[in-house]
Amino acid sequence: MRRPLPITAPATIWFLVASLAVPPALAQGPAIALSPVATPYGLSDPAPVRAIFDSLITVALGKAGYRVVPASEAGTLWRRLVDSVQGFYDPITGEIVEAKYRAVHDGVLRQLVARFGVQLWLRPSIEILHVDFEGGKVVWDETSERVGGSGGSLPAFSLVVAVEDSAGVETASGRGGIQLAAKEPGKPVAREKLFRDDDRNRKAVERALAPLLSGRPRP
Amino acid sequence: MSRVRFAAAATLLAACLVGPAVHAQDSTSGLLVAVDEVYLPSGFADREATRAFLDSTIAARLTEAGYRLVPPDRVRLVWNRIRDSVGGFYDTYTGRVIDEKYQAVYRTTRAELRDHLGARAWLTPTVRFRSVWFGGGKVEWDGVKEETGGRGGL
Repeated sequence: MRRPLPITAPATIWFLVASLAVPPALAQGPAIALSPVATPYGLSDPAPVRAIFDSLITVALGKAGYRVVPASEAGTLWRRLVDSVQGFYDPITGEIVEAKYRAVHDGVLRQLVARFGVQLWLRPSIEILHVDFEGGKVVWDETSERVGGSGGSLPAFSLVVAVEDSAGVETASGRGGIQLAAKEPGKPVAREKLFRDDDRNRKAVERALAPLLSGRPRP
Repeated sequence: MSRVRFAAAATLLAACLVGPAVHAQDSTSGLLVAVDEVYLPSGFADREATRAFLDSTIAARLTEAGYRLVPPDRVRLVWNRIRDSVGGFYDTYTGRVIDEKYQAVYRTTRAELRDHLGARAWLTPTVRFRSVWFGGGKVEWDGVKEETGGRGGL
């Protein structure tokens, strides 16, 4: 006697067919393009750090109902257009040539809109800032860390995001403290101990995205 | 527990870098020194006035001490011509200095100042910010002292 198919099989097939039939753009909320996370100059082995924050940001935006265009797309477009202008820094002064930069920026935005129908473009970076502190506690960008010294100034990492709309107008920006880069002056935290605290990383992403997600779309 | 404040101090550094080492005890009578313009860090307000003041003060002190000078504008002409001949030394993709190109410009400028202009020394003054530990309401660095409101810190 043939055994009947388990009840889950037809349901699974129906779900797959239904998923394929609905265009992704209609299946989810507004489209947002993500750029690769920019890391500070001198940070060794930055690729895993980019991957951690790319992933956390993608998940947070997806949960909030956005359709996320992966960072690899904007990254590829950016590199291609930077190549087309042979870099946008002046070889004599080392400063940005505004016209070249705008050409790259606007070109990437146009292509993100045309190819993926994005309404928003989110550009994240990890920055180092110097924080004055007193009383053995360093407080910055809505996070804090205890240190041995009673006071002074220490370097700290923060995640910074800027969001612009399809016309290139900045619509949101946010910051979230990650962790100290040094626990005492002149003694940086070892590279293998940086960005290893999942909870701190996740909270930094939540804080940085809060201004954007406070007006998030419905899934 | 001491109260701590952050103190940033500006320091003027100068280097003599051409040819054989020139020491203060050498005879300075008529010695030709190429003097570069003062390099100021970004964010300096009133840059031109500050640079003009420091340039003229350095020139006056060297002249008083018996040196002859190749002035900053002449030194800059040499530097800029050599820098332009290699198309600049900044990476157009990152904005950072390409060390090989910078060193080539530096060495060629030094050689030209020595061989064509006869300079025995090249003085390159730079203003830099640095952090200084202090205590007792007084900050001391590089030969100067300044009072501060804080009792101690970095």
